[in-house]
Amino acid sequence: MKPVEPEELSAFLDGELDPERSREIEMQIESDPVLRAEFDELARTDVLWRAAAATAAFEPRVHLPMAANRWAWLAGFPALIGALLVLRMLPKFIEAPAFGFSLQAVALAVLLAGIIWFGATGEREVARSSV
Amino acid sequence: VLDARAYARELRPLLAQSGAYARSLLRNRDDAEDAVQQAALRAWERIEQYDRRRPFKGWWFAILRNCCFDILRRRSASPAHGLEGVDAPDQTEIDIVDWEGLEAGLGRLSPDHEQILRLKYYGGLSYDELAEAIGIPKGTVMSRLHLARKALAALMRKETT
Repeated sequence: MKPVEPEELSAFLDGELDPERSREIEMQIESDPVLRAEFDELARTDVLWRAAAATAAFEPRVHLPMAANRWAWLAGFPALIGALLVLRMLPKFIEAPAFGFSLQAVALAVLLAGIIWFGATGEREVARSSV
Repeated sequence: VLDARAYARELRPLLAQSGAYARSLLRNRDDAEDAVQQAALRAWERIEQYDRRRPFKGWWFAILRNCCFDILRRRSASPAHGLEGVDAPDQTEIDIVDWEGLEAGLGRLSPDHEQILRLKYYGGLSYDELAEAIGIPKGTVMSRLHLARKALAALMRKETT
């Protein structure tokens, strides 16, 4: 069995070794009191620091910039509304009311889908402070 | 390249650890919140530079660390000195963990050792993520982290005797 390299003790503590090497190191720690003492000291420091880190943790409030594609949607809305107005006038010109209404319905559906999509994804705040 | 939703999805689980890391460096919760906010904007501005094959957390913490250092530079104070205005946890929390004692020990280590321990414990970074955040090979992460722990343990042992 390969002897334990000093830094492997830390890696073992952090669970960064492959399972086979971890088993080997575990066996050597159990059989070697010097290695055991060294590992225990590392483990004690580790426990203290993990507790300190947990104590310091908090959830910061963070806002993200609006994505470019959302700006594109925002710019697209007036264009869609303009298109709706044009379509509304269209039946008068082509004298086919049913055709005009269909176009209006399609445009309205696109507009509504855009609004719903924007509302669903427009959240810019990643998280709120929990405290 | 990550889009806004994917970016938010990657960032959200890292916020508590980001807050802890920034707070440990800046010693102040409000400044820590500012640092995380600045980092979130800076990372988004540079999102095209992010390589999806590499760990996002390591990339993010490198940016956060730079934002913290920018704040420290503006403040013209070292993170290792001056406990005035320290935003320590509640008294009940201090009873459980000697926050200031641990921080003072960390401040006496070399900058490299202090950096890797802060990222490891407050940021909760894995070895791959530490390698990405610090810009060193994984093998160096392993040895540096071990030496840093040994140095810290020796300091703590010295203080208790």
